[in-house]
Amino acid sequence: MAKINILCVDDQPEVLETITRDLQPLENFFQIETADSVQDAKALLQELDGKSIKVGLVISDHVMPGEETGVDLLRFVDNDIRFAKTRKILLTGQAGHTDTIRAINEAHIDNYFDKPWDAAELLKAAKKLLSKYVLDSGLDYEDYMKVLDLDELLKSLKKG
Amino acid sequence: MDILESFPIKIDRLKKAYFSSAERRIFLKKGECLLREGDANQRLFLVISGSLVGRQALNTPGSEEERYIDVLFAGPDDFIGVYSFFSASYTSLMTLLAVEDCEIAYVENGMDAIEPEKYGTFVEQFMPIMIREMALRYQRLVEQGKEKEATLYRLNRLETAATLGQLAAGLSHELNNAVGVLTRKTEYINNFIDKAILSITPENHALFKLGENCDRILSSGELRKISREYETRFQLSATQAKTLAKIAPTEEILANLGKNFPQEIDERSMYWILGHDLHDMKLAAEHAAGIVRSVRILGGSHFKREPGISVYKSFEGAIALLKQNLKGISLFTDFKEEYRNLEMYADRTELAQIWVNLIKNATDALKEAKTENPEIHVSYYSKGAYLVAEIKDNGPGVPQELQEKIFQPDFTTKKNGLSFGLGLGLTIVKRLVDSYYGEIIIDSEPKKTIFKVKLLLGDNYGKN
Repeated sequence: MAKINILCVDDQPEVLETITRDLQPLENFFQIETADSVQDAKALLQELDGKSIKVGLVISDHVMPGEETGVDLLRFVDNDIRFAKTRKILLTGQAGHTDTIRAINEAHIDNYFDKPWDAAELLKAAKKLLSKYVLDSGLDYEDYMKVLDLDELLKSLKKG
Repeated sequence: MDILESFPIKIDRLKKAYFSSAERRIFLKKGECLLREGDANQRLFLVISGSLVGRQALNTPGSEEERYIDVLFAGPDDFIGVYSFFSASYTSLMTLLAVEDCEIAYVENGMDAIEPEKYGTFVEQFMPIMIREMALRYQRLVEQGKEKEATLYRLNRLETAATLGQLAAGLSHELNNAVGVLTRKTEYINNFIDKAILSITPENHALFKLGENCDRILSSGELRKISREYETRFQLSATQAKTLAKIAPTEEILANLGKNFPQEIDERSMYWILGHDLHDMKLAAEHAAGIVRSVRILGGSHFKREPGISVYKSFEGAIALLKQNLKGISLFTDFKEEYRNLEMYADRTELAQIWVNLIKNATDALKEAKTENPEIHVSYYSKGAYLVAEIKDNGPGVPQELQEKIFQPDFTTKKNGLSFGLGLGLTIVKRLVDSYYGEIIIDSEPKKTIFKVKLLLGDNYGKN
């Protein structure tokens, strides 16, 4: 079974560590990668794609130092055909901000979390979005049964 | 606009012709009244010496207290009674009081014009005076309007500052207590766990300590590189390798942990992680305390401003506070002897806050850029009513396009983990400088960045 990647992006190492730890229950089924800047995240996306490694989910912080923000990164992912099925979560310290609202619309973000987020909620959202990714990509969901979101599976099965 | 200059009227001739008579003279002692509002007046006055104030009562029905507004000030060569005289109302528009001893000349209504064949009728001769008087009154109105606007602005700003200050004071008090509890309890837990590990599993104590004292911050790229290497070298899973890379990013640390450590990672890494979590908690608490302090100052919870604050000592205090930050940086205090005793109307905490923020910014910029032979020069002098202070560093400089931005509250260039910048430092400086009616100027090029701060020195500040 090909390990699908989850990419987490935040400029603060402590926060990055918190995200990965929140997602630890997924570790046996998904590979969790981290990047501390938009630049590094883009480089990593290129690298993974070059190795034909799938990226199922990108979780990014909004405001980071540097020229590009997390929204720019998610917009980049959204516009790139290679990551058409990749799901996106935005972490933000300023929900309700006009920039954030615009971002959600423009980058087709699946979910946003206000900082500080609830660990269980983030894990739940990640599971749900990864389930969608697995189903959309036509992968064998049996491999991921233990961690996937059952509601999503059922919904998809009913449709199918 | 100076009306007297733009209206070059021949006042001298009128003075000589109409106001030189020794008979039509009035002498007033300071405080005496020339006319009361509503009095009949058939005279046009010219002030020879001294000065008067013209007042109109404010109609305040039901109020016992007498309130009035000053509408006119008249000194030598100014005319008084222009309105009642020329409007033919012959009633005084205001009460005229001598501010100091006065000598006043006057003409009576109905007087014959002097040399009418040459200068025209009486009214024609006095026309420039009427016009000048109207212009003066108009100008005064404009000035009053401006003054009122300035007062409203000041009031508004004070109100905002007061509200923000109250809010900030309340917030900082509450937060301080909460952060204090977190800090203390973290310490207790840390000590407890430290002892527990030492007695239960002493072989993992060093590992715990390593995590607790870990200040190294690896970029995600570096971390990935090392963990990929460990993955193949020790036959570890990606997750295991990453954990190992975090714990032992260098060969030295790896060697210290013993050659079996990579294989024991699953059982032992938790001790390092535990130590590291405690480290992060302590750092976060410290950072929160710092934010509380900044917010309190940002809120402008005005400290006590008073005269006689030594500028020299404020710098001394700021530099003492920054001892730790200034390590490895050459600091030059170019304080001239002649300004050693310079004093200003200020609050010493606010002053120190300005210097601390600017000097700390310079140290951060130098460290961030790893500037060779880093230097900071601090100097000050007085220029007119202002104190001018300069903080100069030989760092990489502030790019032109960022020079405006750096004063905005959420702008920061600092990103190192939990010690990241709040983006408030320069905002605080800007607000403080504004509140001293000053300005801050950046002059920056690579190897030479100067922050120049101008603050009003004097007691004029007392309007606040």
